[in-house]
Amino acid sequence: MENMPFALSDLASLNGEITLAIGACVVLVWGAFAPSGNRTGSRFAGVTLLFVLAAMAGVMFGVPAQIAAGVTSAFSGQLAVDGYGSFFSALFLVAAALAIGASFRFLDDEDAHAPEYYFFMLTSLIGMMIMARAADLISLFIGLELQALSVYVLVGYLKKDRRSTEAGLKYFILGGLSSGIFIYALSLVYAVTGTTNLEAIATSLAVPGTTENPILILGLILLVVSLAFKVAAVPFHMWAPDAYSGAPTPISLFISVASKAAAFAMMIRLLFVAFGPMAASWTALLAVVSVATMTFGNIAAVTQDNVKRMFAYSSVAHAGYALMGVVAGTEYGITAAMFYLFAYTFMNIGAWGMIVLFRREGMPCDRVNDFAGLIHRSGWAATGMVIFLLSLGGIPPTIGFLGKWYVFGAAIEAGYGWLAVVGAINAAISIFYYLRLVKVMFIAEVDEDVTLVTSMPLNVTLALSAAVTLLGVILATPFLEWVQSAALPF
Amino acid sequence: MSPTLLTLVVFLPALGALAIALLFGKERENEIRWAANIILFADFILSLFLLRGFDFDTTELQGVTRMEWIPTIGVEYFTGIDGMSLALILLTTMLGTIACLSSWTYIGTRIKEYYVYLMILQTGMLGVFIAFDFFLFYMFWEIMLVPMYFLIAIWGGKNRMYAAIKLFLYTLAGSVLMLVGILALYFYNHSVTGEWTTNILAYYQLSIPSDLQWWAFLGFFLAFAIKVPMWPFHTWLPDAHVQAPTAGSVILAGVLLKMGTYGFVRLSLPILPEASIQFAPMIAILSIIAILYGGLVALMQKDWKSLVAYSSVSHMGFITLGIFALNPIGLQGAVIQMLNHGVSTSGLFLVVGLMYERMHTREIAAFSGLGKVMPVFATLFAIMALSSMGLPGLNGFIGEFLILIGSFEWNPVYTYWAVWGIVLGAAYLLWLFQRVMFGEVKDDKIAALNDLNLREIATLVPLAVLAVWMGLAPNAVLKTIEPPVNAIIERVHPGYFDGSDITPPPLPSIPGAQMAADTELEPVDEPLAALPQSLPQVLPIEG
Repeated sequence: MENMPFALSDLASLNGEITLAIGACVVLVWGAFAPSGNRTGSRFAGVTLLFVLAAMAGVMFGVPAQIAAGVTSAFSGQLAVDGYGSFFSALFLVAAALAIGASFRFLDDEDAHAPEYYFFMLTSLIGMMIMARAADLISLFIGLELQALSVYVLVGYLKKDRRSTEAGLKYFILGGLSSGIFIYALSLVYAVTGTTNLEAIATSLAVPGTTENPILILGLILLVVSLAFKVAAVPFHMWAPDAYSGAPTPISLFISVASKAAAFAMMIRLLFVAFGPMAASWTALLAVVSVATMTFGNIAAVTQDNVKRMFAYSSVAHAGYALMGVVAGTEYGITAAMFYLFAYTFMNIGAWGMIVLFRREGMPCDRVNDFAGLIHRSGWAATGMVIFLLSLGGIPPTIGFLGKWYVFGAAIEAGYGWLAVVGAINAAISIFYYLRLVKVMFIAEVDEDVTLVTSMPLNVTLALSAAVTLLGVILATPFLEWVQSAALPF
Repeated sequence: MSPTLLTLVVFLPALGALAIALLFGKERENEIRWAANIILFADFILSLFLLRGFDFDTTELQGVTRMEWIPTIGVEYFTGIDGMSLALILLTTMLGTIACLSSWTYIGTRIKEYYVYLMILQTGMLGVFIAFDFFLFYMFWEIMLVPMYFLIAIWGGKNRMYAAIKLFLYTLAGSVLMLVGILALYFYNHSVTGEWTTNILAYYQLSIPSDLQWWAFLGFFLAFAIKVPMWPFHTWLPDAHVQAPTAGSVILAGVLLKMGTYGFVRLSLPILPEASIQFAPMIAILSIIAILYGGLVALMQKDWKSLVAYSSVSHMGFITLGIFALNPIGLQGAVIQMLNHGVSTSGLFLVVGLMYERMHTREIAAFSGLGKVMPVFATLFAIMALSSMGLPGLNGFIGEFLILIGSFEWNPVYTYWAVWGIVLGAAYLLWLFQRVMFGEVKDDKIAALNDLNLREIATLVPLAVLAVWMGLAPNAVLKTIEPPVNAIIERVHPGYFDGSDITPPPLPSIPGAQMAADTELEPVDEPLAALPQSLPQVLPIEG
């Protein structure tokens, strides 16, 4: 491996990331010279969107061409070149594109400086894509930190808003702690196996007796702990409600979907490829985490009066559902988790996007009561929100139902019938707070203070999310085939 | 009978809802009313055409549509009907029309939304009866909940929020557990046959190990028992009924409750026969508790509508008792009682609604002497009440009688206790009738009441006519449901019909499986297949 020279074709496998990096530089340099103020946010948003779409083209067309040419890894085994990586890369890029749609007007309204915002969004994207593709502990950690550091800044981006800065700081401290645990766990694994390559780790674990090594077991436990931190699973979820509710809403939208999916992408590859031989230990551990996550997330969400906090806890619960697929430890389970994250991306972006609509004199209107009587102000908005909420609750005919079908199925197939029952009961609990919002929107009287602040890009974001959420089941076949082929490498 | 017609019958209301939502402004209230009524009435008329060319002697599905939908997980769009589905579809389209008509003046706010929900609900309910794919079935099953929630939550009574969310959560909790049961069967089927399929008929042919049957039955049972609702899962029902607007109650009692019993008959019995036998005694006891408890509580009600609601609990107890007698007479009685209950209880809810619209109270004590003031109303109410209590000559008698025979054949003790339910039924309904209809006209308010107008009569008369017709000529209906019922009993108790002169028909086979065999023989079959087409052309010339 060491002898392999650096090849130009390695760069080709990075075309998506490189495009984003160029975009980040362009935005930053242009931002330094462009006059500030005057509501220039939408220009930067437009440019960023272009680069994101170009990167998307690179991922969708470039990587499959490489796979077809027989390339399986790049940079001496640091990065994998496979459908799994491109599936997640595409998912992050879609989430970013939709988040940019929600940010177009938001930054100007908040009177925030746009260039750095988009710069960090692009760098976090690069980090996420590397997390999804890393085949080596070193590149994995680099991707993770690139993503995390960018996101810390984004969460605390509104420097005049106390909630935002507080959230950024909290997220930074707890995220830093979990990164510390993560790299400590990696060092323990390296101590036992003597390698950082994921496949090589699996090979050395397959040697009889290795898996009983207490250092390795400690390493695995710490690894699961830090991964649980990253996906915001109970009991390591405490940062999530604060970070999501304090962050600028489009950023909550972005990280509650993309960062979570990136953490899952990393978790699945790490556990299945490197720690496949120890599956029995980590599935048992994660089964408990999954139950705790969905149950606690849902119960905590029931009591919230703030919509952003409610959705923050709801997204904790959704991590629990997606974990069911990982717990299954099967190919079906991976497919289930991946499809669940796919479905979750659109329905959750839609729901958070709706919150972006609500503003009052520089204040985000995020109390449940701010949604009162929405049906009388905008039938479209209310209908859209109902679609997202039903989907989050797993009610057909929305895509969330198909997601639940998959994760419950994965649990049952792997013999975790009880986990599926817990998931089912949780789905019923979650409906309680989703319906609460529906009730307020459709039955309560209008609270006239609140105006809807819409813009074309935000409407496009909402319309696209609603379309996928509503029609995702009817037109599911191509998506499912994509997910299935992407889950194949394991 | 063409598949296109069946699809049209099911989806016309949803298309209508979409059209109303997009084409009409909120303020064009009368046009919306007309449009909704016309669409649902047209749907009813269309559904009558399903009878034309329907083969009543077969158990095979008719009007079948089978399309690949999500092949990766074996889901297909697979719809069709047999006799039982047909009967329930006709009931649904009729009650939908009546419910729509009864809302004309009752609903005064947010007209457009109201009719949109009502029509989506209609498609959801019809879809359940035609879906023969688990995935599709579950989709329709859950879609119903959302519009029903809105109907109660927006246009309901004082305590409507509580009632609506209780309905939603109860039903959903049951449904998701059913989903787990479905998935368990789905993976079992894959492990045995190596095929991913959600085709319900494929599961009819499986022999599932007892312990899996037991667990899957439990999941299905919770979903269906909550929907029926069986005691002790019934507590959502009185709340929902009392708070719901009249049309909501009509649909709820008439069709939604039937979903549960339909599920037992269509899914639990044929797919999980062994577990059905195991669970039967427990279900019989729950049914009898429901019959007696529902009757006794109905007797004590001061509110007219909750009296009818509790009578529903009692009557649905008869149906579940009939189903789990697990013999042809009991099951036939149960299926026909599903229709009867739909007719008579919906009628009773209409009656309550008409009175509530006039008096804005449902307190039984507030009424007396209505018979003198409103003779037409009194007559129609009498017919509905008598039909509900099972007077011979009216529909309710047929169903209850068959169910009692069926349960007697199984275990006379159950019959003994169930009979008291009929006595109670007569008691609470006659006493109700006596209190509100007879006696002196108490006050000017009652004296000033108008008798029913033409529209209101039109909502009740079809039900009254049906009650009489099904009471006098039940054979027309019995004939429709007999083949599927016999097939199911043969599946649950193989050899039940040995020694009798009935040859039980097979359970429906998967349409298309036959076709696949045909295509292999294609070269031979082709000339034969062309033959029938040429025959009619030849014959007239010879004649």
